[in-house]
Amino acid sequence: MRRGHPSLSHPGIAALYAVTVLFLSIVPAHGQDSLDNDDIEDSVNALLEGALTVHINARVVDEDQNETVWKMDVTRVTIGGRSVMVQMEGRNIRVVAEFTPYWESEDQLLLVAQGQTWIETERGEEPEYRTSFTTFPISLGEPILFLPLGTGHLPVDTARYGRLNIELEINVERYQS
Amino acid sequence: MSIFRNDAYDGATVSRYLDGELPVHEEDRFTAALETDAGLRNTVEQMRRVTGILGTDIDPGTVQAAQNRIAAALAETLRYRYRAPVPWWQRQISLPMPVMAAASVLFIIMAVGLIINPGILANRYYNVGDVAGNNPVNLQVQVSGAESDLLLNWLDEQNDVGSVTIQLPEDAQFQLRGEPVFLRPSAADTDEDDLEIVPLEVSTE
Repeated sequence: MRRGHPSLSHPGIAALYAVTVLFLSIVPAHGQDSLDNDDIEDSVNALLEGALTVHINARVVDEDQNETVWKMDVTRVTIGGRSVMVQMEGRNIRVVAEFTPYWESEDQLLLVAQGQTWIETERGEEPEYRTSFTTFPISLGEPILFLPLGTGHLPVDTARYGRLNIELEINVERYQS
Repeated sequence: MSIFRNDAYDGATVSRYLDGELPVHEEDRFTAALETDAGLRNTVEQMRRVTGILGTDIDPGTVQAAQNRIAAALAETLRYRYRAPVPWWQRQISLPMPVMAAASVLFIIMAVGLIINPGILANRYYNVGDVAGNNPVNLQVQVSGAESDLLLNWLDEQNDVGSVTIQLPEDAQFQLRGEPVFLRPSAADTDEDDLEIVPLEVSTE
């Protein structure tokens, strides 16, 4: 043993080492925090860059008066390939519309849209079912209109409620502008 | 003492004298020389003592002691050259004094820190409301790229993503006008134009 180098038993060194490692592992290291935060920020940014905001404007219009009698705005967030489903439920109607945006280019999307309508014409009868499926190449911010009841005029002049139509306007934009 | 005489009786002659191997006339002359030559007598005495020692039996105890001394010296040498395995709990290492001092200080600091604040080892959960009070709270949500689905599912649970249910006016009733259709607003305007009522031309013929 060299002079000036006191000896320490092996268990003592092991215990000291273990305690030191334990202490250092539980004490926050600012450098490590900043590194983790950078990684997280990158991940979140990557996620948000591909995220989309789907603005939904549902309205009931009186076509005779050419006015909107009721409307509601909802916004949902999604990413490419994940759908946003809108359900509208009324007294004699149920509408389900599903919109799935896919990124085509930097500012272009392919919007896959499916609409289903169940409507009860007279109480006690089986509800009528209609469906439609289409795809739209759209630009970011370009609105799409869904008319679950169709666009035609009613064959007969019915009461006021019969003149109402439903419009669903969809507007897809980038989550981070 | 005569150098010449000593040279006349070398060691071999002295040895032969002591062994009684000299001829009679030489032995007489050698005996006469011993009386006059003190150096020769001295030489004879020394050789006689050596011969006596060589002829004496060796003490076994002396031999055993010598063996023990040799074995001890050999073992000491081998102990340095070929050390036997030492259990890890008996091993020792040497450290410079500054390292020992630094390690000791660090250990003491850690021990004091743990004593003062033992909660440092435990996970801490706070109720945001309790902590924040009226103060603004800055929350950071950590999400990795591979966990985007989890994030969306979580947002879905918060009613920010996925499906939305819209309750139409309770008193409104609707009728089908055709097939459900998706349009661009510009196309819808065109459809309205297409549906514009054009007066019939009346033939005058």
